[in-house]
Amino acid sequence: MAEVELLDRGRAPLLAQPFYAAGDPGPIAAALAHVPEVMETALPFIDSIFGRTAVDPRLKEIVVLRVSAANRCRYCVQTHTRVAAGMGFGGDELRALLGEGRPPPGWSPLERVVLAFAQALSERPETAVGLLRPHLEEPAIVELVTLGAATEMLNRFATALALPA
Amino acid sequence: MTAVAEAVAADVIGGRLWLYSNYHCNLICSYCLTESAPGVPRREIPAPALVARAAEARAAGFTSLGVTGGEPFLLPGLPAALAAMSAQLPTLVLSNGTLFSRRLVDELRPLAGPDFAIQISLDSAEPEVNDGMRGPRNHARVLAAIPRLADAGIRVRLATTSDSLDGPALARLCELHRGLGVPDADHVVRPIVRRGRAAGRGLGREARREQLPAELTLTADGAFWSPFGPTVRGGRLDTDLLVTRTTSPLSAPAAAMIRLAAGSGSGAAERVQVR
Repeated sequence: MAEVELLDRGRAPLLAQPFYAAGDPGPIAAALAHVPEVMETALPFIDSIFGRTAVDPRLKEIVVLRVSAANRCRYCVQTHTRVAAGMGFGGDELRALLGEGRPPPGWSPLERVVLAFAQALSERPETAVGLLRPHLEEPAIVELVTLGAATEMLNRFATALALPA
Repeated sequence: MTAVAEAVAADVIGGRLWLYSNYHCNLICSYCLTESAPGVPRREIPAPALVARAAEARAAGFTSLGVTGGEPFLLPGLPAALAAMSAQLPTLVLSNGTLFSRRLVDELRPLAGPDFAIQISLDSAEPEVNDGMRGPRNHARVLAAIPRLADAGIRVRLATTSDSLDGPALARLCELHRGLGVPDADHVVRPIVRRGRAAGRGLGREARREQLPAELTLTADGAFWSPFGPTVRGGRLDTDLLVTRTTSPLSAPAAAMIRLAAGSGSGAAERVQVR
């Protein structure tokens, strides 16, 4: 059970109501709705960084799931394990992302670097960008750092509020 | 011209900024929107904050202030705060009319003038009808308070909340308030709105956002679309008409309110006469 009420459509504040137009907006939105002026800027930000961008979605999912697992965020790990499986990540790949195995032999050097970057971002963030720099241009680096940092924020948010997966 | 002043001039939002000074009350009215009662948790905008919001309201471009609750006169320091507020903008305070001791009236005496009024609730000319909704001896207390305030030079308005006031009953009530020196222009009759305690008891009429005038309303819990927004049911605050949690700086909820009101159209739906 979540630590706060997850606002349903009938109790959604005015600025939050557009996010309920297509149905249940999910627990992150339903919690953020308590502070609608934050919600209306936070959710578009989250959508923009977690959605389709110039960076390969596979690389982004490696970051999201590895960071979430490193932070032991139950909600984010469960939801993004489903997302990653839906994107075609296999069982051995998921185990690697969850920190339960090594990356499979078929992974590209870039994928391995991004996995290491995600791990470093959670443990020694000052070293993380150095891992990416030989492989990616600065816009992609900034985006992956932003994605990892946003994931860290949501990991704390979801864990502190005990959001149901 | 500020954004608020432009929105008020264009009738996008109302010119009055409402402030819920508190939620607690010495009465337990049957249709209360906020389930106010003596024992409810104290959620207040303290007097200094009321004064600060009044100054912000004037600078922002609002044209008047309204103070409601709960019973505002249970808030410590309210008379002095009202004096400071009405020096900024014309101020109307809603009251149940039961606390106007001679001492309190003396404290209010400096507020006599065109920029301050007290709106007191009275729901029927018949004591048994009024007191059935508002509590024992309420009718008698209100009828004692009005002349006392008027003698001090305080303008008194009367608000009647009812869904069952027929022509003869309204005529008796109007005869009563005229006799107390309250003119027809200062008598407001409004329906019970089905929110708060009224909803729990199946009283009143539904009021959607489109039917409620856009009047920014600040509370200890945030800023709402209308004074009918921050209602309480089953001890839980309704959030469906919440605009922002931020109330200061006032520019934050005011900007959000204008954006919402501009998007909702103006005057298209039948409006509920609420104040």
